[in-house]
Amino acid sequence: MTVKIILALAYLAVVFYLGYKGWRETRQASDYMLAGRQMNPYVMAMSYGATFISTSAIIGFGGAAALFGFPLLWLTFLNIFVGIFIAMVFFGKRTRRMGVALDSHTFPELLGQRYQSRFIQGFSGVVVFLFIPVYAAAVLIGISRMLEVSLGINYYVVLLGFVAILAFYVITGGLKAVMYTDAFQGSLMLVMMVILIIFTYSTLGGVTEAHQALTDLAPQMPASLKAGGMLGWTQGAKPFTPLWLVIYTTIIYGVGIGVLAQPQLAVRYMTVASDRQLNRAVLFGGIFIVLMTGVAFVVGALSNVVFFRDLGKISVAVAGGNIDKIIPLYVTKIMPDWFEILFLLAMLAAAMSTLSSQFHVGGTSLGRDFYEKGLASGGRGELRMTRLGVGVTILVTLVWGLFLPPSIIALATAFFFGLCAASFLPAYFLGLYWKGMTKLGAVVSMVGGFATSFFFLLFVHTKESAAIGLCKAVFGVDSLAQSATQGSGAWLLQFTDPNIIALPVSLILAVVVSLASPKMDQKHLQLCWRNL
Amino acid sequence: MLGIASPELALAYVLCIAASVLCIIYGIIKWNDSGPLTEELRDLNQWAPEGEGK
Repeated sequence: MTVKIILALAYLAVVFYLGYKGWRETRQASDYMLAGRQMNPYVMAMSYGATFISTSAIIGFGGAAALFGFPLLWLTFLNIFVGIFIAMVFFGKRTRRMGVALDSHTFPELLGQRYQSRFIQGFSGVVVFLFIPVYAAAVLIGISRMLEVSLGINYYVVLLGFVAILAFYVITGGLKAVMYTDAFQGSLMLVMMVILIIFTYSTLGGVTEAHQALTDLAPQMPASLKAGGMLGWTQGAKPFTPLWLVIYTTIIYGVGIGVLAQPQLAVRYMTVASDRQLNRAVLFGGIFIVLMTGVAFVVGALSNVVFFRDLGKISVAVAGGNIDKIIPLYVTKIMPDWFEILFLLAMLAAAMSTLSSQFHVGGTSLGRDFYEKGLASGGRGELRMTRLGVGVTILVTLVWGLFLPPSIIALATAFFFGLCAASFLPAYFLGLYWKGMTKLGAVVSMVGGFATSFFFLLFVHTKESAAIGLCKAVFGVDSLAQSATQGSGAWLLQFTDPNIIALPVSLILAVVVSLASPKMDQKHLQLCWRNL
Repeated sequence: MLGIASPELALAYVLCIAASVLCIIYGIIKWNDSGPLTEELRDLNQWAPEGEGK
């Protein structure tokens, strides 16, 4: 225990030093919001990756991989190909150049200025500010529960202490402090995951041997999962069964595509000085992500073989049904003792790097996008307002953290990613590539995508609608889709991610309304495209 | 393939590695390709004709 506490303190000392370095180098609003647009490519890539990959990806989704097996590797593929390659090459470069042309400081500001709309900036800011605390709270709950078990400290003390440390360096040091600490935290995560995968494959006798053992374990798949359509961990699920829909629409499509419209990630493209940093970040990011979600999902799935060999039970049974406990239990029961300490620090790092960026983007959304620009309150005291915004985001997250139920990590992540994709993705993508995209098209697409996604979350997609309870209160059922004929397309909607409907709706609205509405001013478009 | 029962899931495993390799190759090939610097873009905006620049 003493070693654990000493190492945790050493880790925090480095974080505080980097936070202090960020604070010292922060003099103006562009330092606070965009790290002075001069960030090193390694720091940018690690910060992007460490923000992207939180405890949700490793513990929440690693646990989901223990349940569903290798189908989750499609998510890793999308994380790398879409989340890194497409994101940086096709979104990142244009975002940086247009961001400079329009002097944008945040993702909502880029959208607002591209479409010359205070409403768009204010609306985007409000969506981010209102919903990012839910996602942040899920990350906060995950790490606090873990520290409670591992260090034996009271859950509420951990929750408050954790938030106080983050508040200290995010409020004072802005994005520079966030990115410096992210890079350190990402490096720590990288070392831990490399050890985890090498240990797991070697304990099972090699790559093919380990996979074969998991294949042979298929008869042990729980009956409830088989009834939902699962065939085995390396066999996948029967197409269009309820579990197939959960895996492929919510987890893979929702999170895999949703990454493109994440405000806390998109803002990082604007922190570098040229395309060179983005090109190099593609290399670092590609390696980082495969070692994060790739390792977490493979180890999560293979944990079934190891647990069955050593304890005679598959992972979900060892964890008593709570999939968020599977990866921590694997580390405690299977990995060497010294690794447990490294894992704990890496999970601290994963949570802190994601939370710091969530707090920062929530704060800039409230201070800069909603208050200053959306309400047109002028530029006086902009840094103070943004710092205040960060403080408010942290408080709201803390409140959510006290009330959200357990086993919420993967769900809340998918919820935020999905909502961002439906609201922002068509307006963002078409705004970068299509001069014919108009202000009205963007407004209708954003509001329509948000409303559709939200309607499905409240009244159709059972996982959220049952938890929220509004559908039950109004209509007496958990989901409106339950009243349809069992097995029909309408009935299956209760298992289908809201974005399967909401994203195409948002895209169609963007294109149709833009074609039918007045074109934007040519001079403004020339300015937007000046650097592209 | 690779001990994975479903060919579709074996493909997912291989594609994860292939996508990572693609990122590495792209990063190496474009290592020094900087495009216009942010500073240069800013200067360009400052000298833009009235109504176009900041």
